Amino acid sequence: MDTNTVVQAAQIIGPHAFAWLGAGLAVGLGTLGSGVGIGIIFGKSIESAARQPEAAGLINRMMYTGFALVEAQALYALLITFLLLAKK
Amino acid sequence: MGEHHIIVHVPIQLFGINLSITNVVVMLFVAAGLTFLFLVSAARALRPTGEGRFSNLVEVMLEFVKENVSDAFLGHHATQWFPFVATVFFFILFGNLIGLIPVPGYFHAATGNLNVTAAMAILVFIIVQGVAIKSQGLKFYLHVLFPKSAPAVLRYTLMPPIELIGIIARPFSLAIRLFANMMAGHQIIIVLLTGELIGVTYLLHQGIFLKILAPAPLVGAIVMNAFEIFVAFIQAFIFALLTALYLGEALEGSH
Repeated sequence: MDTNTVVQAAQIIGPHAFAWLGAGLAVGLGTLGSGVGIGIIFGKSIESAARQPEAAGLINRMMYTGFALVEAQALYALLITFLLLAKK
Repeated sequence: MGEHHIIVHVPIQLFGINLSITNVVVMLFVAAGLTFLFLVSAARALRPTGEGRFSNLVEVMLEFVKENVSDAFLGHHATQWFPFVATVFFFILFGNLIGLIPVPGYFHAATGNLNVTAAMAILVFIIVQGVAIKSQGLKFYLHVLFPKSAPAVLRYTLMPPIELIGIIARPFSLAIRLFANMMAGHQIIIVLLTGELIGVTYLLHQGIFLKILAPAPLVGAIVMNAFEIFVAFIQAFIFALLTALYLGEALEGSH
């Protein structure tokens, strides 16, 4: 795949070919980090709740707080996707 | 992103600023009205014999906000700032929840608009800075920009730009987090119901094999709606929590 092929493919797709490619890449790569983060958060929360069940209420609340903050990172990437897809 | 067209109902121009009543403004009024009705009707029931199920519900929610958000972050200013935090929570909650009512032309989430969330984030930013300056003076910025918890080598070289960017990024992250959460959920539901190649309306127009598959995106849309209720509560809680956190920092001093 050399640059000539890429340029020809972009010309076939249209004037905003790279915007659409970037839109797909943005949300795809953006949810990677968020997925790892959510996995760590919930794994550690379940582990510590199993260790000390009487703290489960507090751990539950902190878990949802952390989840929302990590989920926001993936949504920043999704915002870029929508900005790129809105190009006509 | 351009799914919601701005429909101007009452055009009002004031000193060159466009203050028209659009459909988004109507949604904001509905959200504010619901907040007012919800909280005031519970306050009226604060008589010894006036307990009902509805005021119990409001009390449970207020208790939740007070215990987890206000008392956790605000220290001994908790009762002073609790009304503000609770109002922020309930206004954003109702602004989010209105978007789940399925009247397509008229009801949409007031917070699904970047202007609304940016306005609230800027308001919180200005209030936090004002409270910080009022309670600690300009020493607040010295404590934040040159934190004592950093070794002296970094405290004057690397930390100030990082902390400055951190302060400036807070209203952005507040606004974009709320806006993107609301908009993404509604976009997914719209795409599942009306999108090309996978939407329910598209599949119902095709041959018999694809017609049988039509309930699948419908079930997906129902599940996403349920998840959206959950997200509405969580995002309101997170916004109120971060507001209380920044206020707590401004009132007590940070680092």
